[in-house]
Amino acid sequence: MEIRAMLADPSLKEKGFRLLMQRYGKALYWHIRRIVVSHDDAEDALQETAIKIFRSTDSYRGEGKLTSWIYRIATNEALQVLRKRAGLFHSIDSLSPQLLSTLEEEAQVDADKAVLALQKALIGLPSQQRIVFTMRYYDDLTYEEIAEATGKSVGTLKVNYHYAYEKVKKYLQENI
Amino acid sequence: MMEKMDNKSRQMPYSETEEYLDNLVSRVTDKAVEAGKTQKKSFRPLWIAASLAAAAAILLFVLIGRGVENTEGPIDKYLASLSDEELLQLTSYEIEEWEEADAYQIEY
Repeated sequence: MEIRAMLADPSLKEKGFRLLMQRYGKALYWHIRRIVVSHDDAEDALQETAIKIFRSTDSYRGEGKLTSWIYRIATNEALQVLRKRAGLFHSIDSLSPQLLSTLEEEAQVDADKAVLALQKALIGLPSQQRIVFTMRYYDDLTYEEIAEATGKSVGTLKVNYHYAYEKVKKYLQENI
Repeated sequence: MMEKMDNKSRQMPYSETEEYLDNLVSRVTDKAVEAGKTQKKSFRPLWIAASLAAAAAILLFVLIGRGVENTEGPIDKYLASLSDEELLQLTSYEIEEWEEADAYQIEY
């Protein structure tokens, strides 16, 4: 039976939710981690994401893709963490130095230089570009799915991805 | 350069193992189910309590409103019984002011 149908059936909701988390839980963790960088923050945001998914399955009418819906919740929770960190008077993008320092603290000592450089390049991007890039590059989501998850138009996302790609490429050329 | 990155198959530079993440997801899932059930159980009493509180507030408001309308204390009754002339005298009555020193002077 499909997860979507299970979530819609009250008697199978919990089973469907567990299956959903089993299938997408780790992907959601990495998606959040790529936005918030810190493991502790990623764990907290993943917890909130899971609670919101479970509580709002009743309101999920099956419109759009299930993956877009759960990525939307996860993205919102991750951004919420960053908003709290940034405070009232600063933008999320002002957190880049802090995120960079968290990356350096939490990355493995023997981490591959190119892999680490890519993460640094991503942190340097404006959050919108970073989210689009990671959803395309790591999660293989289509522009339509990302549009559903972020509420942005496909055209805007394509432009954001293009800018992100060029900036990342330039950074890697200069730093590897 | 990006092609070279593709060969790294989207690795992340962190130490969390697959096993660790499986446990994390499982823990997070259990907590979410627990939180969801707790919310559902506590929803009805909370809803009932909120409704009762709202009803009590409305009742109190209505009663106080009526009370204010109907209440006529002894002063109101007294003032109502006065003629216009008497009322004028009352408002023009000057209170004799005592000097502070006099007021606190204790006579033996």
